Amino acid sequence: MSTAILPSLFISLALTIILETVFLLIIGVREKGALMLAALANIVTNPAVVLLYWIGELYLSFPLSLYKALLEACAIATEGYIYSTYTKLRRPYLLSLGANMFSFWCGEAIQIFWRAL
Amino acid sequence: MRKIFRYLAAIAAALALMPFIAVIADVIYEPEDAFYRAHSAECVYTGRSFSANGAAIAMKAPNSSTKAGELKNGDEVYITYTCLYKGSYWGFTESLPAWINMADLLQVYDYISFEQDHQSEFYSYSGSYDEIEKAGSALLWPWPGADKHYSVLRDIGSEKDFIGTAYKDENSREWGFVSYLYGRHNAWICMSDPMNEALPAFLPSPAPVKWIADAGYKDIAESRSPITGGNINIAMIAGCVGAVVASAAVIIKKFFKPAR
Repeated sequence: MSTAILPSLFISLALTIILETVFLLIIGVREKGALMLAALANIVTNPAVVLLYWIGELYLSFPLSLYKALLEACAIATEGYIYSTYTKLRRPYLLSLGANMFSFWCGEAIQIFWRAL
Repeated sequence: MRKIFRYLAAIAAALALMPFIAVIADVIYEPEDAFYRAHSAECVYTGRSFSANGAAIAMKAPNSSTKAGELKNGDEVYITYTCLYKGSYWGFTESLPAWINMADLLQVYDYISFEQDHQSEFYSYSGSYDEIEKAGSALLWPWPGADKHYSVLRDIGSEKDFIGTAYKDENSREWGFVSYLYGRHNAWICMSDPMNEALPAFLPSPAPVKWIADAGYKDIAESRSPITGGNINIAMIAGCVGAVVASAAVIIKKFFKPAR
């Protein structure tokens, strides 16, 4: 595997943290501790799922959309667990789902825009 | 809280700053082509057009069983990179995007083919640019004697010295090769008669031929070992990712108290 994945990991993580923080702010989460925890939760999940997806795309003949959904579900569950354990935020798993979907679709839009340039 | 920022800054520094590339945020980054990115060291830039020799199946990757497209006999495709995988050469095309077995393709005649056939007749150009300056423009030909030009280079003005290599055809017309000028590259201009569309086609499109790979390809299947030469291997990258993930988990455990 080439070094090309390294900047991808970093930039994916940075964008994810920014977008999920934006989502949390939009829904009214203002506590610095909660926002910091959200950033750390993304550091726990995002690099691992990006790397696992790259590896899967190279070596799996498994349908990739299904694989991606599985990885996404694991990330949502992990982040939801972190929110439920360390914050008093209501509906932590739903919050995790919302934040992840928001950043995922924003990311899709960014990529479409980038390829169109 | 300040300690957390310091830890986070340390993690960010460990990930390092690299040039920006297109990404999808959140869960999964989708590379332009995963196989190429994983094996870029073993892929060779080709940058030539090919035509399908019979029906050609395009695959997601040389090591994939997923079909990504199909070409009909004669369909042209531009191959950017080629690689050697388990004894077969594969070419990547952005248009699908997909990989095609090079045995299913024929090399379309182009400026490189002309160069290979007529290299010994080339010389350094030291002639005049008067005809081009008079015309102000020049037709661009894929090679001297082609049956049709493919573009016009306009507003050349008094630009000079953009021709390095020259060729004289059997009718003593001088042709100059344009490596790069005003965004156009790898084209021929008839220096003697730059705007004549009716130049005799003494070398109309020769039939596509079988592609022959240059020496120096490394078989990707053989070069994939736990410890690789030019590339950082998966284990090392996984180790770095694991360290970052573990660090973040430790920070959470250390600085955040269970709330429920």
